[in-house]
Amino acid sequence: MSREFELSTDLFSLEDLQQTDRSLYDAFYLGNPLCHLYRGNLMTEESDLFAAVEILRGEGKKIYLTTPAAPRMKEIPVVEKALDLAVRAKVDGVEVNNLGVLTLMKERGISIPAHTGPFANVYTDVSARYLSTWGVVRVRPNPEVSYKECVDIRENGGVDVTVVLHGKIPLGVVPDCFFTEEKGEEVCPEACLEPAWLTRGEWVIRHVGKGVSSGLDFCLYEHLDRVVEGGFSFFRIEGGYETPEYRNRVGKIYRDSLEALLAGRWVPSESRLEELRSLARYGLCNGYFFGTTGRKYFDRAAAGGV
Amino acid sequence: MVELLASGGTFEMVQACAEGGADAVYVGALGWSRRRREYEMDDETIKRSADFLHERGKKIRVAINTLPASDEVDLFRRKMEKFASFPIDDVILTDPGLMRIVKEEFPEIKVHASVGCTIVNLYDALLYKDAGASQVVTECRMPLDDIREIREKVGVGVEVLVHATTCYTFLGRCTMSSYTKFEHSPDETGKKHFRGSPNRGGLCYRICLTEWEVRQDGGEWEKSVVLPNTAYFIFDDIPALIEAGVTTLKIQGREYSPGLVGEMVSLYRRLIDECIERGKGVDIRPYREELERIQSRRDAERTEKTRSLIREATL
Repeated sequence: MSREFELSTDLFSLEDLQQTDRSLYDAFYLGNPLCHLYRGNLMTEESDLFAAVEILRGEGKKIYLTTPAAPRMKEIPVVEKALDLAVRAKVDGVEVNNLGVLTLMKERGISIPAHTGPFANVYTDVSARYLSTWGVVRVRPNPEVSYKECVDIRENGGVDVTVVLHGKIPLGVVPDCFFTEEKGEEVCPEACLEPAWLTRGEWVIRHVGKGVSSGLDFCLYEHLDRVVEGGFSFFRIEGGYETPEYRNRVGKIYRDSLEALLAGRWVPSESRLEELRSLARYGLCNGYFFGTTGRKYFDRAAAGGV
Repeated sequence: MVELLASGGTFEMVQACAEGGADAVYVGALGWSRRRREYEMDDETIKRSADFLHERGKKIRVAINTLPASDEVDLFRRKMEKFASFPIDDVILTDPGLMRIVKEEFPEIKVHASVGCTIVNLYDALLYKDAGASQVVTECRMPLDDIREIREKVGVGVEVLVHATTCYTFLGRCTMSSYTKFEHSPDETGKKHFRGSPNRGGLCYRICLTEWEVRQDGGEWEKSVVLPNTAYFIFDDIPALIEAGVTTLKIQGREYSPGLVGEMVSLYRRLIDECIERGKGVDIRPYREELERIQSRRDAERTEKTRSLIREATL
């Protein structure tokens, strides 16, 4: 088996970019869609974005710029600024979580290819096909969409499909910042640099202020051959709100594995899986990949029965 | 004239809403709406509700507003064919692809974009209008000026929830419940019933309302929190909403008792009628006293339900 693939991750700031081993990835989603006030957010920090684009262009990487996840009318100027930057920086794609951004792009005559993010709520092939009429060329289905459903969208939706391979699962966009609500306005923009962990018995979620994610790390390492058999070519590591070490070590494992798999010489490695476990503070899960509870983990043997 | 829309979780509740003065009642198709199955209706009960409401000059709106799987789209078409034959007046949808199908294949049925679409700005409303919606439900916390702007600039009806629950997250953009517990199984028609996902099957375990222990590294911050998920009434703003040209005022509440929902409908009916007759000069104090009694009953029913859901999530 030999085919090309694209492995991408998120870089929220120029500092993130500088500390990440970019050779591991083919493409980068720049900026933090949850909060435009995030320190150094490449979505709106003009000089940092242009510096990032120059570096990545020089390295032959694909560059995608994200946009706000749930902008109210008062935040539309932030969306407009991000779109303006996307045009001027000549990025390869715009990530859209709020579908209104697609109509705004059309109104402004912006024809940059659009990719939907997890909060765009793409669940069906008919929606993917409809969104393609608005310039969407690639969808990242909602995390609740199972592997089989992702295959249906890829085969019948008329768009490419991104499959997330590893990282925290986005679980929600929050209107009011958890940290400023709990601690006061003065903690912004520093407080969310260190996420909060919310636990209740065996449940654990991570709070980053304007968003909630899984506390467990979503992991498809053991099931990589099954993912590739689905015909997917676009893969992503959820790298936002993670350390450069996390992006580097996880990226290395998946890049090596994908290359080996596509060359027909991959076998799952227990030591690699252990390394991924060691990077996951609260353990691993498979999300909704097998159509079950997001926080469960099925190993290769167990997954056969799901 | 602004429309008062109320919830029909059962046929008994449909009757209570009609008697209370609702202009239209929405019901959920079994397996297809954003509530668990005991608050949804089979096709026969939907037909019975449609006949009952039409005989009284009222409308029926059917919620088919879960986000299905791609392999359920043909089932959706068959469902729509059946509902069109009853007939029904409108459908409430979330998936823009399904909206497009209704627009093209069932043009006699009006499409309303569900609260699950998370319409937070007028650009969202423009997209759903293109997909086929003639009316949109605005996000629960949308400011009045934004509502007015959608009404004026987009050319669609606007629906505002006057009794509902604001999720901790943006409603329609949350998967916390299904992260903790999620199951699905098909019924005899092949429709999958998703339990634990409000987006897919309607049942939310409300885990945000459990007591969470919070810990943040690099600091001394440790505490317990409940992530607020608030049931609310919009009351004082009713005259302003009517003046802003809102098309529909909606009372959510399929999971409450029919008697309670009937009382909510009756209260809003009288308030709306007086606002229409007298404009902004309405004295809402007498209505407020009645609202407070309804609110305490609503809170008691809701608290018990929340405890039960969180318990169920841990099983």
